[in-house]
Amino acid sequence: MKVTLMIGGRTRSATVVRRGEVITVAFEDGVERAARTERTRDGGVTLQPVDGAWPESAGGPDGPGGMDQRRTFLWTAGEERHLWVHGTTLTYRRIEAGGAREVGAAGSLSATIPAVVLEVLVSVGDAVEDGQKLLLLESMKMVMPIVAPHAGTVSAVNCGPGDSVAPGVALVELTLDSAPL
Amino acid sequence: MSAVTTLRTVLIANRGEIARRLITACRTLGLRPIAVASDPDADADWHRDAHDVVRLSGATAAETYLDAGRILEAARSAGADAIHPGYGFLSERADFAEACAAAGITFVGPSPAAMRAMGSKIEAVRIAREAGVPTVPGVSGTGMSDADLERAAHTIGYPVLIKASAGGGGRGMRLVQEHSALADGLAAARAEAASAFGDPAVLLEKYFESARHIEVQVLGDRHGNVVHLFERECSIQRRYQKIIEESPSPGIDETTRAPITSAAVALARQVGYESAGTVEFLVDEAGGFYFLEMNTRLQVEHPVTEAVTGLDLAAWQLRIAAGEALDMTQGEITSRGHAIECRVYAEDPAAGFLPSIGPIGVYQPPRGPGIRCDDGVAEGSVITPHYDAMIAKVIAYGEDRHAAIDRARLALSDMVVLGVTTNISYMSAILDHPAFREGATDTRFLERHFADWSAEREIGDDVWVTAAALEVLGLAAGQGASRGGAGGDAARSEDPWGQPALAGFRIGR
Repeated sequence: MKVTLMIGGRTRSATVVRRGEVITVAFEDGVERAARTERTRDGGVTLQPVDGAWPESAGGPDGPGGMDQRRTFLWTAGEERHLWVHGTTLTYRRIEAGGAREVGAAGSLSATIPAVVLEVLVSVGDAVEDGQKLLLLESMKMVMPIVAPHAGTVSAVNCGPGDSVAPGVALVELTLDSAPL
Repeated sequence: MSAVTTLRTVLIANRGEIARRLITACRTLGLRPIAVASDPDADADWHRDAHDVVRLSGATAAETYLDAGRILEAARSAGADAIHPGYGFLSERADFAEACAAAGITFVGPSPAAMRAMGSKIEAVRIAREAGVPTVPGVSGTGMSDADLERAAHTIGYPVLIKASAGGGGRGMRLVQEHSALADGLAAARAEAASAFGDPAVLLEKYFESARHIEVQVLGDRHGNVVHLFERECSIQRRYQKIIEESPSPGIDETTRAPITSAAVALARQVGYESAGTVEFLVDEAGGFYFLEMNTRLQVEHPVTEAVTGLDLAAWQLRIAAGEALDMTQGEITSRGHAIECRVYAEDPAAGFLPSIGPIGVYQPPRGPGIRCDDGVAEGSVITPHYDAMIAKVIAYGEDRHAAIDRARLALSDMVVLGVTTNISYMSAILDHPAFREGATDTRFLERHFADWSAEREIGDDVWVTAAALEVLGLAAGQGASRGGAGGDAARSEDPWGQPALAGFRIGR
């Protein structure tokens, strides 16, 4: 199986093969590792390197709580991944094969946290300037605007006042005036 | 513990971890706890152990937990003979305590008179001076012109802090470094005080560049007994909100402990204080201490005092409310070992402490020797925008400060909260900081050492391999791709968490 992940701004693809408990991960850049995996009763998974320790295996800082841990937990919501590994949490994305259904594609604007739409300030066909406020969102008693990242024309408005919206969902779509996307 | 005989049913007028804590206290004493729950809390986990739950329709705090009339009605309908307000919400509202008394219901807390006396900062400072308790050099602004205040600020010496008289939580507060900025600061603080508290009155205080926030826990009964339960240090604050608290304070020794605890007891006596209360002080580098304010309720950080003294503060509040006398003298109360509390918030410390809301997909509270985790959530809980973002408190006890920090550090590292962003890594970094380890803590510690903190770290190949391997396990379990992706329909739904696209799944289940 081919897997493409974007972690910390870097994207890597790997071929992942499972044979019983052992999973082999071969990255396109040549890195290859095998791990023995086991599900834990509390819903996690432990990973143990097959050929001794991975040389670059690095947990958190030294001292209490900073040691490497075999136990991991994963929570996924759409393409978003929340991984608990070595005692800390990491958030990243899985890029679906072909990249066809990537949420928040270029030209679309979305909220970064769950919010309620307070006001829609533009309509389809409106010409907007760079930095212009398009939407007002409210979350946790704070009002925040969604602003145009560039000048363009509003090609779609996918929400209305009072809507509860999730992070990453396209709320407004903009096309560039000079070169439509 | 002796049985409480004059009370039977107690309404817990709060939510989350403190409601659960108070439900436990009632059950410890053989009392019947009744919970209240707003609409977003209907399916919450924290009220499961209550004898019954009274639903409060509505979502905002104002129309549910803060609505005195509805809380009293809930108490009546449940046949409660007492109300425990917890902290926040109605806990420091003297008018609510009076309304309880008028309805023949015992308010678990101090008398309305004591709450009123300590509720106004100006009045509290006046009473503290009467009781011989040192106060922060400053003036109450009542009846003073801007010119008067300018002269006063000059006498006190810059920098000065402008505070809302009716305030709290940092609102209506302005730091003024020099004379030229005073007029603007006064105008801004008054405007903020008027909008936040409906009262533009402000006061002026000396500002300390380096001071510890140290508070003394007191406990009084209806029979005139008042004792202290030693101090807590709460200097680790972000935006005037405490996140890490400990007892004893690394900045207090035997010679400074005696006067500060005596002062707290003297103040409590002065207002005839009963129940649990906290007297807050600033302690400067020279060991001088200055009264700040008194909190007339149980504090969030009460578990650290419970750990070092072995006393159950919440249970004692109920026993005192039932008319019991304290059964120990000051000399019998001892502090042993060290305890530290870390408040786990659903927020992003690397993004201005922006609250993080949504479902908690994976939740594993820490455990182990000396570890206590008071929480209000469980796996599947949803953090909503309606209430405080604190989800749990991790309290670690050890034989000394280093042992307590080591245990707290491991507990934070073992705690798993996935689905919302939390401050767990941020607190781990604080515990790891050499200055914290040395006890070099003051109220500007985070500003000084953690202003640019980021959760980013180097991601080794082991993490990449783990992430890739877990993708395959997820698909092998028959979950994954088909549930991925969020569309416009989900965006228009009333409840985004009800949509499969956001419901999430976990490996192994």
